[in-house]
Amino acid sequence: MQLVTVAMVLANTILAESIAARGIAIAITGMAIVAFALLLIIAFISALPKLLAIVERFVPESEDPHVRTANSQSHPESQVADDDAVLAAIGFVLHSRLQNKD
Amino acid sequence: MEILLEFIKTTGFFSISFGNAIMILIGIVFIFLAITKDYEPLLLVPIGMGAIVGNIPVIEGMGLSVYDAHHWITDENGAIQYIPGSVLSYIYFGVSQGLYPPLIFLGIGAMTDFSTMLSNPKLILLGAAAQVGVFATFLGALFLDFNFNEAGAIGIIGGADGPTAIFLSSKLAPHLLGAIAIAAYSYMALVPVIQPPIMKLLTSREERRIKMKPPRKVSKREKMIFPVAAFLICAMIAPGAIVLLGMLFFGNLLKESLVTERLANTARTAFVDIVTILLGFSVGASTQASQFLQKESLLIFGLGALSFAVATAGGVLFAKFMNLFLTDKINPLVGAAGVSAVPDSARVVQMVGQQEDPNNFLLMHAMAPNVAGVIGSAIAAGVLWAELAR
Repeated sequence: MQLVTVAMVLANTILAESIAARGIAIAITGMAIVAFALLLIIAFISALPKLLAIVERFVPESEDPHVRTANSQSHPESQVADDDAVLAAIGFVLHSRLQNKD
Repeated sequence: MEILLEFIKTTGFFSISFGNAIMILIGIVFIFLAITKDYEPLLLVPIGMGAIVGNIPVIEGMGLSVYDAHHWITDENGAIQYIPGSVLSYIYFGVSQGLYPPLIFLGIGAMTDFSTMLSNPKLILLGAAAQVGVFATFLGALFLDFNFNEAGAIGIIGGADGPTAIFLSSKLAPHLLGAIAIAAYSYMALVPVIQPPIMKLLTSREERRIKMKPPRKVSKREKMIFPVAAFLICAMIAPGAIVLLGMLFFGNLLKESLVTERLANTARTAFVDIVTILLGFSVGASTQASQFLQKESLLIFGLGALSFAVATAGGVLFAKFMNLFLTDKINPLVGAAGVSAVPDSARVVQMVGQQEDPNNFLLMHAMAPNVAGVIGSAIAAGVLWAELAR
């Protein structure tokens, strides 16, 4: 009977140790993977301005149609959000002026 | 008279349990905190109302609760019959199958400006350091006899990211989803209460007064290239994160491409609002007393608090560690924003920083680890899912 009890305690200890060992392994690996992925992103972001400086020699940002479009705000899609704000501002100024006249 | 008596038996007054009453009270407290204290009102109001709705006792066989999902039965003639689910179960489908979290990430991506992160990439490390909360809580949950899948789902509360927590628990431990979601959102709402004491405890007054250099200007091209490149890096390393990060970076690409402003505008306004309403309400409605008021829920709440504390401490201490090697010092308070909880933890950093020096503006700097924390917690979720679902 005592032998069975000792065996069960031993089995439980081994099981607990194996769960703890696997848990610690997952935690350390997981943390390392997160850190590695973010380190790669840091490396990429740090290298990006240098890469873009090379690209800039061949395709200047001012000639990039998308960037130019964004700067001049002439793309029809980009205007959608701003139109309301511009109209509201014009409306507000008109309203103020008309009220002052009265 | 008999009909009236039968009807009375079906009313909530007749069949409400003590547990239901407690949960209804918790729902009311959530709404009260949201309205009076302004704690995450966009989440706590839907969750609170959902908790009230979900805890009204339902009539047996009427199919009203979120758990009354559609199913098939075989009748006495051997024919297979389709039993439709309750209305709430269809709304809850988006939670139980992990549909809403990626959609919310799309909206978050369309709102997020990665400029500060791009201008000072070393701050990304703070977002990684704060993920120690996820893995420490994972070990804590294992220690408290939760199984591996449950421990993984509980651990992600430390990521301080509600959608990620819901997504991972729907995959690994759907039976704990309600408790994990409520714990994650409650602690996110309590960021202004939980974080400041830890931040002050771990930093000196001089450290809290450190002024950081203003970030450099980031070109439009950098902002356009970043979402695609960052997604490729993350997805190749942790494919389990492609759903969440794919939507996050897709939303950001809509914003930064400058040619899909209409889509970006929809994603960050009406679209994300609709999903938030559906998610918050159905998560609240899933907190039925019989499912929610368990010993496990209390343990999850305890572990959730621990994970927030460890994550905050991890970020702050790592910032102090980085300062040992840096000439341009980082204000260690900024490390606390690595826990995600966008943008609340960044606001807390600004608030605590300004208590020491009203002319110190840390919000911009804190946004870098803050958004890095979102990416970090999504990667952590992907890693845990890939490792534990096998």
